[in-house]
Amino acid sequence: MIEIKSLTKKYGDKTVYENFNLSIAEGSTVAILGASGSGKTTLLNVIAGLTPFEGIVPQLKCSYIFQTPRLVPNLTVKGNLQLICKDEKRVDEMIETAGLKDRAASYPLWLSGGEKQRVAIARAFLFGGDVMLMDEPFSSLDLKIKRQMFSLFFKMREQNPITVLTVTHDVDDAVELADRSIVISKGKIIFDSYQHFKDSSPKKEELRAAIVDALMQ
Amino acid sequence: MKKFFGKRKLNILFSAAAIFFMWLVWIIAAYAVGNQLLVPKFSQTMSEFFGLLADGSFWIALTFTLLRTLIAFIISFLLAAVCASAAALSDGARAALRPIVGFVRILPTLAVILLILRWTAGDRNIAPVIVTFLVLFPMIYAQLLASIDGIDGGLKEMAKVYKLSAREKLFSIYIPAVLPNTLSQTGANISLGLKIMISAEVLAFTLQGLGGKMQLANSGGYVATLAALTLMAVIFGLIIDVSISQLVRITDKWNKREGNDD
Repeated sequence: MIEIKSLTKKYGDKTVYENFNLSIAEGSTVAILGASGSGKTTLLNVIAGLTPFEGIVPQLKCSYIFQTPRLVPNLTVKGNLQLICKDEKRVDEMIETAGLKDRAASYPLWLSGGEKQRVAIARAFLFGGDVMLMDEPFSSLDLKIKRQMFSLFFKMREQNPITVLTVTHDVDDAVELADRSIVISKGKIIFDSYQHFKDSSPKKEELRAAIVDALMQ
Repeated sequence: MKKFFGKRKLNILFSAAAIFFMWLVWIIAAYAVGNQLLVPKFSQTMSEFFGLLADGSFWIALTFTLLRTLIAFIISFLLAAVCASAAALSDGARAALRPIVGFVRILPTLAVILLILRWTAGDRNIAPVIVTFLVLFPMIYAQLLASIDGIDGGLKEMAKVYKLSAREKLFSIYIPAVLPNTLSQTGANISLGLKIMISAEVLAFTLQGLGGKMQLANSGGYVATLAALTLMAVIFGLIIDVSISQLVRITDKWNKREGNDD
């Protein structure tokens, strides 16, 4: 269990979180939704250790798929992955799994948006760690590419099980990817699908409607 | 007019016009002043200029000046690169370097030359190198640090999350990001180094150098020779600047394969 306790985070005078608590079961995929400025990305950055905070957040080895791929421009696809993992065999296998075999020697500038994001996903799975953080990684992709990314994500997840915390503003993405959805507003959890549906397993439509209701509050 | 000439040809035309204008100012100034000890005639300066080209001692002096400039630049660049890398990787190093670099930057050049001449028992070859280093080092350090600080913050966060080592950050992110900017500034830095070197040679009376020759010409009242030597210094400064700019253009073409993904 990953437990965040009494998290307080402020940007100057603005308080984003005050005494925020969250427990995440290991191996689960949790989607975090909320309006812009509700602190979704801040939560990921706190967990990744990218921003200072007060409270108790376990020091975790995190992989992070950012909103933009953040690839090193002067390294090839393979070079970017080798920067994270020195095991060439594993890197080659990951390139194969990500469908990037033909692009292994390409530089980021030569790749399409979808291909770059594939590399970013491959990098995150190669790094592994205790938790994988995803900050709207598919938001800029068109529907077809997004579907391909989802399949790739599930395929890699199956081969490399890991706890996932994903931030999204797309309800469909949350329903599709996560087994638990949380809506945050003004630094508080206003909806948690685990609590809302208790022991029952909601249908996708029910879950979608409940999340939309929470977001409209 | 733009259509007839094209942009490149038009730029060459403007440059030629500017050179013609400067030449005209010279001719008018020489005529107006009417004293060759103050403003030498263009024709006399040109005669001295071509005389220098045939003079072996001029080429020896030029070689020594260029060598000293290159040595001062290389030392400045290497030390600035090491210090900027340390400052980029450690806030403590950055804080420690701030007063040191600040001190070097404000050191008065003339006073330093006199002190160095005293310390080096009057060795007039070392003082200009040290003075040029003292001017170039803080400037190159500031340029490198500004380039490093300008590196995409997203990449820095990625490096932190994925726990890249200091060596990996330096060689995979920092150096490749800083290199194009650094190369484009190298020509201007060496040209400035040459300018400072000649000034320092004049002040230190370094005989085996352009500055020393200028000082000698000035002492003897050979103003046309002084003007010809100045013209030579300008021409060689320009040659260095243009040559390095061309080199940068070639590396730019090579770097076209790169780019940022954000």
